[in-house]
Amino acid sequence: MNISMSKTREKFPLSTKKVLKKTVTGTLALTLSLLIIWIVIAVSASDSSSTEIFGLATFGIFGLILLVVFGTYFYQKWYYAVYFYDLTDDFIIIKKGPITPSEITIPYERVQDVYVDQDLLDRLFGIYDVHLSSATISSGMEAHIDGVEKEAADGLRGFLLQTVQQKIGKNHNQNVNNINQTNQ
Amino acid sequence: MENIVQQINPNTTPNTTPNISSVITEKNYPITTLWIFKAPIIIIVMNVVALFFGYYFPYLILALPIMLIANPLIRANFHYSLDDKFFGIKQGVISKKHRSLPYGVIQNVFVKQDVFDRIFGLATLRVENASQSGAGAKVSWWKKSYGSSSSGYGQDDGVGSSGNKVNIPGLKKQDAEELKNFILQKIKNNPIEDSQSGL
Repeated sequence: MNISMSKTREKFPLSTKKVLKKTVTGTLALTLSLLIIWIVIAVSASDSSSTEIFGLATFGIFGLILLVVFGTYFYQKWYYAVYFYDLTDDFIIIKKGPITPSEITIPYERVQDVYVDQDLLDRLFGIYDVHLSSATISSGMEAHIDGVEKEAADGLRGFLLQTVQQKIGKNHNQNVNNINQTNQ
Repeated sequence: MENIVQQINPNTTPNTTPNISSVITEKNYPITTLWIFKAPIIIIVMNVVALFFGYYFPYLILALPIMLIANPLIRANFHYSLDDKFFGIKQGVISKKHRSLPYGVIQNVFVKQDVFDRIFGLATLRVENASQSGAGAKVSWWKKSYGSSSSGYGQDDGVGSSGNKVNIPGLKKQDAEELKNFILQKIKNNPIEDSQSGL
């Protein structure tokens, strides 16, 4: 699968552990509930002599679990491959979604918030999510770079904060100059 | 007189690469006629799929003729223009709305495709600003959730401006990309003066 590369992604690469983590989070609930169903069937089947049904159920349930896990794994691998983020000179571009792509572009001046966080599984895998958002709700939902290692996360955060600072500072100075000129 | 007309709309031939000094309107990057049939096609496909299971959606079929009348009207009454200072949207079949966004207040620009768009090579362009008329106010009490999670997100995917978004659906993929680049260029050329308000 072609990995959609950008300069930013080369510099701050997405961790391959992201695929594993997403596979675990995506299938954990279903796997656990199927296992519980299997245990219930096992307990109830032990009373009677219906070993045939038990064998069929075991085959079906474990087959389903395997199917779901592999399906999720390949979907996440695809998702990982098309995950595109680029910090250009003027804009932040993040594009994701293999089947229904959505691309968000934010000017640096509009970034309100940059933070790095980890949930429980992120801590187990040692990966980080870099969030950034402008003043709209949908940007908070869409604009994040998930699953980078510590080095890349710190690098991304540092780069973002620095660029935002520079951009706001530059515009501010320009305006101060403009105001001074009009006053004179 | 002719000069003025030319100044207002010098780009009369469609599909030319945008010139930064000119005004871009829906004539340059139109909503495709296919968009009119998007919702009807989805309804028909849903019904055909449902028929395999021995069921169908009567209310959706009732909506079909309404959509086929309403969508061309909506499309014909939707106009946008990208001039020097403002992104202007005119819309409305019965009640009209004219909205102007200064480029400085645009918070982010989306290009989205759903499954239908993906199959037919369309895309939706969405521009958002930070006004509160939309996201916060329009959430009904039964949809309200605590925290800032998903309230008001993805609620309306209509045509034109609603709330804090402006949607231009049914563009060709390439047109959407060009329009996006054009808007980004405008944002870059009209820097904001204050980091908070954007005005």
